[in-house]
Amino acid sequence: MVLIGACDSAREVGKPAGDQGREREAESLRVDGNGADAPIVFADIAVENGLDFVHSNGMTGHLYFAEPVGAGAALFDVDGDGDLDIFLVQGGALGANASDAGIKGRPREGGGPWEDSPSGGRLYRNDLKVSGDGSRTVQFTDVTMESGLQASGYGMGVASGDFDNDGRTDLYLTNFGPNQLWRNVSDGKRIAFEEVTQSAGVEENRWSTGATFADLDADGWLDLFVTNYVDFDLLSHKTCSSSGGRPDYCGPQSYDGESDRLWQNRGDGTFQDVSGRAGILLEPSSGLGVVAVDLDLDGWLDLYVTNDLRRNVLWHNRGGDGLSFEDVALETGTAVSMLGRAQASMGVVAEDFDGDADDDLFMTHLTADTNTLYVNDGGGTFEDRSNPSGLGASSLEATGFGVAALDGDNDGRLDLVIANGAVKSIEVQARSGDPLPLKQANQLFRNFGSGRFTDASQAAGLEFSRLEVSRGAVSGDIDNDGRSDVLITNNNGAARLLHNVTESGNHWIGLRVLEKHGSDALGARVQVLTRDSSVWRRVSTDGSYLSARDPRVLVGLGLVEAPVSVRVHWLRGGIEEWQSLAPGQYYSLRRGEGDPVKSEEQE
Amino acid sequence: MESHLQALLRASVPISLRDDVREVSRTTLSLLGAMSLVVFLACDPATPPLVLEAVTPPSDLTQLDQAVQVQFADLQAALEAVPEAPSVASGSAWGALGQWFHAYGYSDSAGSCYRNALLLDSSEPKWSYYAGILEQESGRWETARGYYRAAAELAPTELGPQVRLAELELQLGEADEAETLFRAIVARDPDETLSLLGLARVAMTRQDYFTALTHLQHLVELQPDAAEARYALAVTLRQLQREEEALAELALVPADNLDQVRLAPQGPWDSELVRVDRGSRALTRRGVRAFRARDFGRAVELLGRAVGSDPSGADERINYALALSEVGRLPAAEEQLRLGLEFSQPGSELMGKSHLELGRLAVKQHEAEAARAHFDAALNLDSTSVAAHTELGRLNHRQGRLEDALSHYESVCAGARPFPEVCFWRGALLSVLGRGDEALMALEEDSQRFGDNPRLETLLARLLVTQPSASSRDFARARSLVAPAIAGTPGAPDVVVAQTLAMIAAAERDFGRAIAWQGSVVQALGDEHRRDLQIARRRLVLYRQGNPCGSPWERLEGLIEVRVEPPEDAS
Repeated sequence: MVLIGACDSAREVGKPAGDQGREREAESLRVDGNGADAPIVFADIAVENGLDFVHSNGMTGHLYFAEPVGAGAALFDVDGDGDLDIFLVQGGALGANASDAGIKGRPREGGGPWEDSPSGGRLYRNDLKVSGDGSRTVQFTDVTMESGLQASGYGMGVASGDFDNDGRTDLYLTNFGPNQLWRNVSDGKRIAFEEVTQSAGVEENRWSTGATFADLDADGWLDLFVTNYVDFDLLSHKTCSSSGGRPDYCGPQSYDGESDRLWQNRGDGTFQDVSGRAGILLEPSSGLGVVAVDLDLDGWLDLYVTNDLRRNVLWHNRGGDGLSFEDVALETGTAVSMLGRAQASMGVVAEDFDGDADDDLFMTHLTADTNTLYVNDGGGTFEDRSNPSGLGASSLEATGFGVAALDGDNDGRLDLVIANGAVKSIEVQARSGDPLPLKQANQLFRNFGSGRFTDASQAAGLEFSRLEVSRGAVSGDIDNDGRSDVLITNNNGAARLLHNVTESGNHWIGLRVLEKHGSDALGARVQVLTRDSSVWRRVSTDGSYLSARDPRVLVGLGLVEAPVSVRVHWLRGGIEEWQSLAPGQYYSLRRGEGDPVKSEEQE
Repeated sequence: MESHLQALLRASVPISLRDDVREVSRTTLSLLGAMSLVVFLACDPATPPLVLEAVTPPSDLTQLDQAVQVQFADLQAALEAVPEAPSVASGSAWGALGQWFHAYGYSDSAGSCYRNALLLDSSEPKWSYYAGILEQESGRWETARGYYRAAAELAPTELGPQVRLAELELQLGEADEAETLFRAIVARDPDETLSLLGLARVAMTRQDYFTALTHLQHLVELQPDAAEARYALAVTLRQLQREEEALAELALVPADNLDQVRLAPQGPWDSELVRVDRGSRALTRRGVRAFRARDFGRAVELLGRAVGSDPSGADERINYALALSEVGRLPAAEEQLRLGLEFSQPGSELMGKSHLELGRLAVKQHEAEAARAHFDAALNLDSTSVAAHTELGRLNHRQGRLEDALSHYESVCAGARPFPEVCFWRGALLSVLGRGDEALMALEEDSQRFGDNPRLETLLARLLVTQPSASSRDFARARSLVAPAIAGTPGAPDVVVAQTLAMIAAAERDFGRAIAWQGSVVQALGDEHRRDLQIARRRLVLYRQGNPCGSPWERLEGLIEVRVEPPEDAS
């Protein structure tokens, strides 16, 4: 398939453009670009471009709790060729063999209706081609076998990050069962991974879900935080029931919660479990999502953990080498709903939705409960703005899981794509004999500024009326055309790659923010400045649900077509500026190569 | 003028409702091999017949609890028996069927039934009310608003629709409209709790936190346990910069939703809907809530009804037994647990749970060997069972079989789900058995993996100051370990911490201070803690004789949470 780029140029620029002294043009970043009325539209291009992944949850009628929970996906550049490749997490069969062996979630050898499905997660290489006329072609090739990445276990999620600072992105896979750390050892000729779970010391045998690589002690090495769900295995399986007594999937409160895990990176390829010392064992819960983000702007990355039907946790990073956290969720207004009630929080994103230079939190919830938008007051205290924002009522009919924050029309405001799929049987589907009657349509919420979002799903294309059991939603620019695409994973269904075909006419700039050694500078904050406006974004791969997104920062500029300045606020201190970056391109901004900004110039 | 209800029905049913319906015929179709009811309301021959929405029995009807199936059959029969014309009776029959679907989570069918009920009897407001609830839960708030308005028009004295309508207006951002409605309700019933909360929320949206505070303070006087009131009060206090009060309010909001007392519409229609649900799960949920609220009599009633709904449910039997046990009906509890055992799948977790509870019941009845047999049986079913190991540890501990107790505690601490409390006793027993080095090592490890656990750190402090070798004693660290325990117990330290402070002082040969603390402990302990009082007195004698304490934990020492008034020179 040929994709026509929306911009005149999307070439990679290894270094920031020169022309730094040029006076910026008298244009500001307009939030109502000339495409404001154009709908944001996506079209699924997965299968026709070689992305033929189908998730299987292994359901056999036993209603094992793990079946409807997975799975996620990662968008990352595995081979360093400048385009996004894809890793998709697989489930598998849950059978008697696994329970006999006492291993949680080990896939059954053969048998079952999914015996023909390839076992384990799949790695797809993107062979993006850009023609001279700007047309783009993405083609995916399954390179799982040759890469050596053998994802064992009943997969849940994936986190991406360069834990060994070799400039290549590694993957941590969470499972219903033992997790795995895969070190990327690809070279220019081949894609290759080696499993280093044991040698790195990051073994976790409990039911893990979300995970994030983040430099929590600001020592230049990515630490690893993993959320664990509940104490369930096939031996402790219970059959729960609907209100009338029909057998149904259990909820998280049927099992004891689990504590999460934090490993500190020693900087030598190994990690130390510091969960107890850091204080995070104090709150065993039912974690599903996590973001590492500096919510109180004190220079240290905090951890916000979404828990299923238990209070969410905001681990405030006390700072220093020792890694020490305290839960401040309740007092900051991020633990429970406005009614004081723990919600069933699943996916989560942290972004500056209201454009006030701090990160807000948005998370997804069950049918008949609102998704929640917590707006940051700048000091790390939050207000629940779910209903006033328009994100509340419109989410009641669906159970949200993955959530991708992206600027779908490049107007400078972050929109939301939400992956929906129920966990309790939907009457009309059950009546029709659907074996997995949990299907719901995904949603697109468009940010119109002033704190208001509007459900724009109807105009967003066929994909937003399709009924599926969606779980992960991962944003990234798959064809480097300056428009954010979305990868959707479906439980027991095909993955969808939603290609953004919006014709907004708005401008954009793409940034890959790198540490000196070439790793993505996860945790850095990016400020894109025009004459009198600025947009803040964070460099991250975490969030959503069980997934890892494109680490690049893609900023919509609205009508601004003049060069802009970019300031990077590095995690370990220091601000650098790159000036006169022309829109319509991706730039690599490497630490130490920008102009240092003195503290008095920072605002 | 068209009423809200007429407008809604016109919108939801493609065929207009006419006033001149004269003749009704009903056809029963068979869909999915079961009952299907489609009612044609034949009107004027010139107009097409009015069609009620088709409703079929749920495809999983046979999987529902027996009592629920019977309930459905009764409603089905009632529907068959009503006259074939629009009437209160036919509307009621459809409405009642809608309640059944509503109560058991079949919201599509419930909605159809309510709409049919309204077509047949538009004078009954509660069908509008229930239809509104369904629409609201599905996020169709504008439709819900119409239904509530219709219900309120038809039943102006009924508060339920007005309360829900007011809440909906607030959620829709119509603060002025919501306030008008809430005020009208409070004018009629000054203690209507949801409206007081609503008025507080209206004030909060306007950032008028003083007004919000007034409403919330009134509300918590009426409903001191309501979680949403406490939480709203905390948020308001925080906005008023009254941080400490806000934190105190937050502490009153139970962390677990199941432990929370909720404000809910208490009108007759809401109660009626709750009563429809005869499923064992709903009864269990309500029973468990009563149990957690320590309303054991109510828990017995509800959990007993749950057993009636699902007589072969092992879970229901166990829950019922636990409630019976709490009200002292131990033989009845035992009988239920034995039935639970009988109905459990062989080798299942429920079977283990039945054994565990039978064991606990035996402990209550001082039948140690019977208890041991049940705990062993639970352990045979799951050798890693933390609960079984813990109970066997406690049982052996109580019987003085310390090595056996230790072995079970060790199993818990070495397992995948260690508990700090059990690991505390592992450390205590190791020291009692003279294995101080092992105790020290274990406590150091536990202290690290459980973070700042005051109990573990207090015991570790004791070990650090009672080391046989003087050079191994670490007074400074011991003091620093106990400091958080003191800070974490506002008011006064408990007996364990106070005795530890005395122990540290004695080890440092500050016997005056040791005697002062230990004396306070002796004063604090009454006769109900006779064993610990003896231990405390022995230690006091030691200090008076100028001797430090040699053992960090005594064989019969307990974890007593009685507060100790600090001596005057305790600074």
